[in-house]
Amino acid sequence: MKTMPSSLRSCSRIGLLLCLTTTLVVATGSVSVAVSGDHGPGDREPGDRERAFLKSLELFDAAQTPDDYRASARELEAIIADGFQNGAVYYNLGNAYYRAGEYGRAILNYRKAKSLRPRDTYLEANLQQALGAAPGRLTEQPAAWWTHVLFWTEWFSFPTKVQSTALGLCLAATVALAAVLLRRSALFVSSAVLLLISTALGLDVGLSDPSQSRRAIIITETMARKGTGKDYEPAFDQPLRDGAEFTVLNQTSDWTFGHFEGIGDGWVRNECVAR
Amino acid sequence: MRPGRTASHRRIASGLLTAHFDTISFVWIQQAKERCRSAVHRMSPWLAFAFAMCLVPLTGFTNVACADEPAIVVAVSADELFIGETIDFQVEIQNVENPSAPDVSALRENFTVVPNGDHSRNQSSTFIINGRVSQQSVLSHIYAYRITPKISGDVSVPSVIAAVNGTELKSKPIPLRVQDAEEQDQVLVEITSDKTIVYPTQPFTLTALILVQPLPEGDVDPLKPLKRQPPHLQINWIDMPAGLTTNGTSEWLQPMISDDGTGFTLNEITASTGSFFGGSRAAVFDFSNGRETRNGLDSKPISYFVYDLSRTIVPEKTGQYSFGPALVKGTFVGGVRGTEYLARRLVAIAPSMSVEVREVPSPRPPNFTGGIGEYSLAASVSPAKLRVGDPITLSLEFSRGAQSGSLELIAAPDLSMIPEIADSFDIIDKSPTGRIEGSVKKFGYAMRPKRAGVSIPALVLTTFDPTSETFTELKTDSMSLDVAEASQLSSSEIVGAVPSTNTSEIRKSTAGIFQNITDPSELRDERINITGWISTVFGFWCLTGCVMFGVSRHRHRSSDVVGQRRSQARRLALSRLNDASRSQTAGQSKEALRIVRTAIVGLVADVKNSVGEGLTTADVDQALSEALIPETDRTSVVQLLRSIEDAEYGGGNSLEAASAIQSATLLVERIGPVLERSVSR
Repeated sequence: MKTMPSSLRSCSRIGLLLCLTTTLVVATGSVSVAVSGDHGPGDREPGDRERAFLKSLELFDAAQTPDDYRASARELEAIIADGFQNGAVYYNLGNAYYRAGEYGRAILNYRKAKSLRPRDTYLEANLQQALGAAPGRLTEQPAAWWTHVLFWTEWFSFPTKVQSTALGLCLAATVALAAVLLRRSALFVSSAVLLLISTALGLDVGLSDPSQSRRAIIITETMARKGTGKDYEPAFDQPLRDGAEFTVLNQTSDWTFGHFEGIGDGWVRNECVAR
Repeated sequence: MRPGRTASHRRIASGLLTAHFDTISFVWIQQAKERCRSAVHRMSPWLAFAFAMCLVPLTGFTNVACADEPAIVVAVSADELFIGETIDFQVEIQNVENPSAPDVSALRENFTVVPNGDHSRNQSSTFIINGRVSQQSVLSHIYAYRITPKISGDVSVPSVIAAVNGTELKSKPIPLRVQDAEEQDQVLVEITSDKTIVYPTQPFTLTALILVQPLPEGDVDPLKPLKRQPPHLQINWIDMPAGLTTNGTSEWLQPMISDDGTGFTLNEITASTGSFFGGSRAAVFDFSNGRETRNGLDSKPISYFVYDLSRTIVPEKTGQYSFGPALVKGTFVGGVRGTEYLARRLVAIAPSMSVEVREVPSPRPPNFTGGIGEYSLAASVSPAKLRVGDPITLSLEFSRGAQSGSLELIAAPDLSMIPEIADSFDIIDKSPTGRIEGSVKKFGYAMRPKRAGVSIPALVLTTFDPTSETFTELKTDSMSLDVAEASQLSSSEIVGAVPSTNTSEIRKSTAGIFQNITDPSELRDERINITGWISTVFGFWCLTGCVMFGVSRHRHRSSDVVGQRRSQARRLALSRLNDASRSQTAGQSKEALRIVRTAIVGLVADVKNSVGEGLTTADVDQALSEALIPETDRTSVVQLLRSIEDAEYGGGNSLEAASAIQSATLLVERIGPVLERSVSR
């Protein structure tokens, strides 16, 4: 029987790998397009958001009073009302609320922006400014242990983390396939390393998903209670003020039960809380 | 029978049960009466009646309540003690359900009485012996107290009175011998406090100081020879009275546990033995703290070994708090005879002392912050450059001195009471929540300047100095602000403006906020569909996995020579039969018959992975038999092979090659699949 020359066999393997990878990439690309395609424009006209954005900037620049800044914030709130997410909008919202003296809302929006613009130094500076100004600021919650291990993930925005995780996992699969086709054990090691890094990133995605966050903030002065009613005793000896951040433990239609770092747990009315 | 046990060993013959049981059952039912009563309350009357009717013939048991007269019994844990020593006093009220606490007021004349809890020892037991049932009930409630004699000599624990069903039960008095501590200079005990007058939250340190004379050897710890039976220290500030707080007992005492068993035992504090069988023993604590020279009874100086037990206490409420007496009891080394120590049993008592917690005096200045002790005050403002109406944050930081009261006491000063601030600023939050960070309490006031050119004046606040018992002032520096009219600046100007400073060094401004993002191209949707991405990755991995599986399977098959030979066996046999047909057509009948035999034998050999050339007709027959080929086909194959062999080696013309090829083709088609299946089985 005639045997194929080894160089020709190797070429055919590489060709097969390229074909398969192309097929897989095309398949993945089409799915990704499908994935990203579910954020439809909704019932907004094209350019609506841009117009609202520019109007909010004009209002901000012309603002003289806290109410003027609130008007600018309202324009920005309208942009994100249908679930649209954008770091620039959250950042500007934070600025508008800061100027309006609503430090709790400012901190909340800066924190939302931070997950989308993690390397923005201006954002970090403004957040620290708002935290320093907030009258109700409490002790910072200690960082979770895993944030020390996955410290490097702070360089990436949340969408980048998700996309990098997915691409890393797909790349790991491709490299594993190449290892099988080309019979190269070094490629298996590369695939394992890729898999490890992508899994770590994926773990961070799961743990830091902003949509699953249990953090909330007090936006108007309120007295925390020991139960879901105004007749319950106050949970603390002083009212909670604008900018007091806490972890939500439970929530009803009217009340939120939270853990306030350094002072304890208590129920607060939902209208005094922003998430 | 023990006093107080209800003697109701009552045997009731049912008359209904005639069988004799050889076993004896004991059924203990705690609080049986209460349970039965509650169960009966829950049952309907008819159900209860039916239940009773079933129970009676089964057990021959009828519950008849019977109770003895109520009684009161008292007991003490020791009948001889030293003044200041605390003993247990127990009052047991018998044959009464849920008795009220006895009146122990008579004890308070000569004793300090501290309640130590109460518990019920009600018990009900049922005996079933050969079908005869008897019941025994015990009703007992115990009230425990800790009593400390105030006087020495022969004293008695007076009668205590318990009210039961309108009548009074009176206990018998118990005689006690209370000894005074002898005057000696071998072991001395003192209670000291670094402050005798304090104010709420101002900590003070209470110390039990024990001095023990050295051994004749001089430098050896005098407690070392007492390891077997360490001396005992009793104090009354392990558990704090209401109004005083301190650190936890474990946290306080754990570091002082003795490593080598030299030291003092303390109150009733025990430590685990660490043995497999568990248990606990009195914990021994090492309180040693150097030496101190004092004059003995004969006025000669003695270099005592010092042991002290200190605790820092923080008062929360005003009042007079008494600590002590403290008592040290044990056998100490009293001298030396030859090479042996002489034992001397000693008791040393320190009288109690009190600490007064006073209220901060009134009237208090209007700018009094609530701080008691030594504090420092710092103020800062941010931003320093702003427009009229812009928010600024004024931060006040109170730093606490070491012996000062809690920072919790310091309330946010009301800045609206300061006219210069009230005139120049709108104070958004007049009483902000303070934030404690270590020994600093911070307040952040959000304010807005009302007009241009205003500044923060020097702030004067007061705290209370407990040493001089006066109110002292804390003052901050005034802070200048650059407040411009609102219409003169826009947000971009704030951001882009270079600070107009006359200093040669340019510094980064940390005040204010950076400008908005103004580029509309940044407005992209940054939502992320995590589920979609997970599905994509999962699909990709599945696809890759399938490809890898396919490749591996293909490789496995291509490397399986036996499998390949088997899978091609039938095709090869049919190919050979085609060759045979061609030979037969060419007139080479013998050659055609030989090829037919090769085809059939080769089929068997390929399927079985054996050498075809070595197979005989008998081998083929056996192989077909093992493969469970039907008998008719097997016979046909054997006959065909034998005919070919006969034709080749004997009278070969009798077999037509054409018919042999046809038969062989049919047989290959029939036995081929069966052979392949038999191997895969």
